Amino acid sequence: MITDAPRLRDRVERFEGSWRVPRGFAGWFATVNNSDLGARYMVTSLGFFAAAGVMALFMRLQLSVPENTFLDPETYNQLFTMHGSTMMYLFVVPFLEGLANFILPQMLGARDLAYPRLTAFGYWLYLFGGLVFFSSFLVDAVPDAGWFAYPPLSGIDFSGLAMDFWLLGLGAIELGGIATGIELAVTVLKLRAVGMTLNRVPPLAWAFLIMALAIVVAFTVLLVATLLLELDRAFGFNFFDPVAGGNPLLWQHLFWIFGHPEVYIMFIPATGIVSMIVPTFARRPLAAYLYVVLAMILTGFVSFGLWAHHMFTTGLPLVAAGFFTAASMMIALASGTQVFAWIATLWGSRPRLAAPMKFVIGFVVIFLLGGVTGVMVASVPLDAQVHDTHFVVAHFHYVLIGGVVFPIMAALYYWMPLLSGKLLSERLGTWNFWLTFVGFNMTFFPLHIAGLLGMPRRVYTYPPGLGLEPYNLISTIGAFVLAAGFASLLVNLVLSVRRGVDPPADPWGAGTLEWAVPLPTPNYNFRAPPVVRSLYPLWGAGEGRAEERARDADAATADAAGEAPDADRAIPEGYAAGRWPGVTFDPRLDAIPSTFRATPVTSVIDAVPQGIWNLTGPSYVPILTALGVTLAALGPIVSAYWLSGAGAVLAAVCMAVWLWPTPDERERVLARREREEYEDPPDAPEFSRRLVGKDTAEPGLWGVAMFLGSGAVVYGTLLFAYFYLRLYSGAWPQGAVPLPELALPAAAAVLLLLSGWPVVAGTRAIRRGNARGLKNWLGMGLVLGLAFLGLHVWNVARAGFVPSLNAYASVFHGLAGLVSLMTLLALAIQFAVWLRALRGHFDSVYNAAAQHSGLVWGFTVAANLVAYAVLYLAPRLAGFGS
Amino acid sequence: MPPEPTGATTVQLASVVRPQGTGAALIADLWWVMLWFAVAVCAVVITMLIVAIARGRARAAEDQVAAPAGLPRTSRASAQFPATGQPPTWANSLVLSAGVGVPAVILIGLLVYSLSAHRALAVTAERPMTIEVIGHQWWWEVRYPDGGFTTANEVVLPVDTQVRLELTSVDVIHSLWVPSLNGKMDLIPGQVTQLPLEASEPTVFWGACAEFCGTQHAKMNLVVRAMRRAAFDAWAENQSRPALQPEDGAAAEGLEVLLGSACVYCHTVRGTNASGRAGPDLTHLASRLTLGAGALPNTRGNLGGWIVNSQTTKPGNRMPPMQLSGPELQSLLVYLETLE
Repeated sequence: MITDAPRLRDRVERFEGSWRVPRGFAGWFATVNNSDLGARYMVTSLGFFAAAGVMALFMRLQLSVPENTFLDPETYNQLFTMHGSTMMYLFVVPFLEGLANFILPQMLGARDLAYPRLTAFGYWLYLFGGLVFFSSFLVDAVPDAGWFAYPPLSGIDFSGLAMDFWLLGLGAIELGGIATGIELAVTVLKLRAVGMTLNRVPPLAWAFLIMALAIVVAFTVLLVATLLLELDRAFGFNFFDPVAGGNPLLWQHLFWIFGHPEVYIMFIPATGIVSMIVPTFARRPLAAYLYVVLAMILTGFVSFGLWAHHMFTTGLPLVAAGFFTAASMMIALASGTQVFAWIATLWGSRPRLAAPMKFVIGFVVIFLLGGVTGVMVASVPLDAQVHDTHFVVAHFHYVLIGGVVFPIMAALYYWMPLLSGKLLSERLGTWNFWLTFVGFNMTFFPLHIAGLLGMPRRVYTYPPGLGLEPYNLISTIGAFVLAAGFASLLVNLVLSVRRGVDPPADPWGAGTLEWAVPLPTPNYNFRAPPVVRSLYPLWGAGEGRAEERARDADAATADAAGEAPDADRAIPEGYAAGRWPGVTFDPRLDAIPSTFRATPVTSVIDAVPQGIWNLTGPSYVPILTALGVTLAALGPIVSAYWLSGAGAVLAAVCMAVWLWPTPDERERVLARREREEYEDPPDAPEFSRRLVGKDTAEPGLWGVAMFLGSGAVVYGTLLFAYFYLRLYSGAWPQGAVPLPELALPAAAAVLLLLSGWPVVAGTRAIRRGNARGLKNWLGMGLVLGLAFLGLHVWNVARAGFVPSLNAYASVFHGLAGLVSLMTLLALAIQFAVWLRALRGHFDSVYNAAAQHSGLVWGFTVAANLVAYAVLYLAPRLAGFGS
Repeated sequence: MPPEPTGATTVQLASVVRPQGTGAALIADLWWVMLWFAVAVCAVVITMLIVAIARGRARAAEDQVAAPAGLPRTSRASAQFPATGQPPTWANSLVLSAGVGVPAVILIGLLVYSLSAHRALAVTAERPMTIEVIGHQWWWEVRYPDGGFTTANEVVLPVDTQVRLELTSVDVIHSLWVPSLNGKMDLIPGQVTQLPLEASEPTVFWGACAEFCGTQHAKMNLVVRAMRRAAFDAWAENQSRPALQPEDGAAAEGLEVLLGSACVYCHTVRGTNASGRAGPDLTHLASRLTLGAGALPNTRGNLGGWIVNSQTTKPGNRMPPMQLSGPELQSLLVYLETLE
């Protein structure tokens, strides 16, 4: 039973070797480790935060007195556009993604995130996109159409090169955001510690799950919208051009379907942070955990149903406006739930007011004020007055600085020991808190009044005599106090890293799993995977109410993980800082597997172990892929479409390399029986040998499903555009375009439907171990798929009109182009799987790639059939529109 | 034009909370109700938070015990408390009642109130007087279809009469906002939106463009002049007439300057050959209160400066500097001042 010491030492050495981050150049550009990349995300985003903050100071200086000439109008307009865009796209969401990257594996008991290369890809795309965006300053083409870039102002007639920087720079960032979102969601669902049932998931991990899913949906909508606008600008499409039958309000709908959830993408994790910190400092579990989680889920859902409350002044019908008002107010109930859960947690406790707790209190107070003004702007009549004024400027800074930046500061003070291995100074923290709290209220409270006195937002100056002077002057002075507060945070961060206090393990006496990791944090977080029996495993063995409900699930867990070994053996060296009642570290899994990176896979609900998930090591492929995508986006900016082509080819080649298994991986999975002999101690639980198979492959399946979910949102967004344009068009098809003919499209649809069958048959065959069947069926599927694609392209080419004709032509070609692209992508994937099948890569157990490819093709068939119905049948439906 | 009875050449302060028209009055009532609910909610929640923390701090001070030595300050205090406490047993009830129940009742009430106010804000008059406002970067074209004339950058309307503004734009999206009279409404190219306005006092109201519309969004302002019915009718009668033909002297020379310069490509003076459409109609320029869409008061000095180089006052606006000699400018100003 007992692993002899020399063998263990060898194994640990091998284990640490395979988790080592390479040094030097490779360490910079090839690392895929979640803690490195998470920290880089946060540092980069804080850099952008500082840049956007300085822009805000310039703006406040300009507005300090009326008719000021410190800035000219162009510069001011560029500054507020860059300030807003940077804060929304380059600071808050990336910071939270970085925090999630860093903290989630530790909090969940995993060794890394689900797809390490995707972590790196997301980061590099974010960095490159941000650099493209900011390089607009170098060529003096700084975006100046506001952070929501309403056409026609953002269209080609009114905005030049600057808008291309905005659209394409941010497009790259959105793509990176979607990648990160998928990865974070899969990590929370599939890589939790054994025993971390859904009701033992820490509130912040719940929040990150909701954030990640919302990102996948919302960022996809924005990505499609930005592409449509770029098509309008670069290729003369007419989605948003009223002169050619387009509709500028379509952009507003699409933008806010993204834009409003965006607010909750930022706010939900912020409340998650608070729900972690309050229990720690109250020294007791979070009150009403279930309701808090439900409130976050509800917020996530409802946030997609209230976009139009940003459009109350565009003349929405009364019924629609009423719906959006009610939905907006519903959010207040979810916030109320959380606020009272925190108060109940604190009630009767002995809270310690260390820096994180101070920022949490500041958060509750400021957010409350932002919340009540949020209810006001949800009312259509009142919004008609305050919309687009400085009242709204004040409102959303209360929500975003109070509701998000204060929790972010709390998070920095709280988790700094894990991030840098040092504590932040409490004394500087107190300065930091009071300067930001007072400075913030001084800056933004007066702006409520300025708005009520008739000061619109986004004005570079205002006339004297309207009574706006005192409020603007106070606000400007406050802005400098606030800046001093943020500067003290920066000083504190720098000083602490250079000469901070070394904290003991778990310095705050917190109860969640991330504090069980020794300091400084090892690359793999946990040498032996933890087995968890409580929501607060460091506090209790499961005496809370939430834990009772999980008791039944425990039996299954215990069986699968083996009986918990005795306490001394349960804590590997380095993890012995505490004797925690709710967590054990299984020594039979200590440093297992050792020759490659892997972490346990558990079931979604009960966290029962299912197998071992292979994690990839350092690689240059992510940064090269990100480079390819960035170059592709740069093409239209520098008017060199060859560059786009080269970038796309680079990205495609990289993707192929990425998805093709390395010889090492193949050997590992195909020859796994030999490897496990020397690898595992004889008493290791059975699941630790399971590298392949149906359950083990689930993280991959979830990832593919979410990718296809994002794809479904792409189709949905274009269909929304189609029917929105149709609703507001007199005739459909517009202009002299004839109704599309039916015969050939019908034939194409039949081909498409037929192509589904061989793919289903192929995946069935390989599950029975019939590799030859897989080859043949896949080949047949490829032929049918290619035939469909050819016929489809032929149909579109014969349509007889070009996209620039009118909005109908634009949306027809847009949707038809999507069908082509998706088919091409799915065929490329299927082709790769076919090649692998020819080389005998698959057997009855190891065949996830074939299953995934089948799923992608099934989605393609279904989505394209819907698209075909719309393209060819919808124009014939009478009685729709007018 | 007869002088205003109230001497309303000074613009009223714009304010959402001091309404001067029916729409704004309805909204101001809603504002005060919502404000007091907001204050009450904030007071209750912040008090509970402070009490929860203050009581805890007091207890913590009572049972202060010696901390284990050797640990940094931050961890000492936390080590004092065993993490075995539980939240109060009534926590769930508190969350459900105070966090969901009570706010739900308040919010449903506010929702009903808000919707009824929304309904009351609609255009109610049977055949309301209609004024068309067309947004341009960065000025307002104002048409009176009944009177058949066009003016710019000010909306003149009779008091105590519901007027329906029909709004659209020729370029980008703008938004018309007169805080003292009503909420704002967007001007969207390719669409027509409407906004009812009704003023209760014969005075002058400040208004602005509220949707960012490009470089000079900040100086795209307007005034709304409410007049008693008789004064309004006289004004409309005057506006519908073409410009006076100057007989001779400086004004006639000024007209020559106007017709011989680039002015005519963008501006219309009805009754002359000047018929440009890109800029404001100047037929009754002298009757207006402001220049450059609220950028300057309409005085002779300002007008001269504006014509010579409007870019200094409103940088980026579409009117280029005019190359005129001193005498030319003087006679042009004399002529323009006749355009009452």
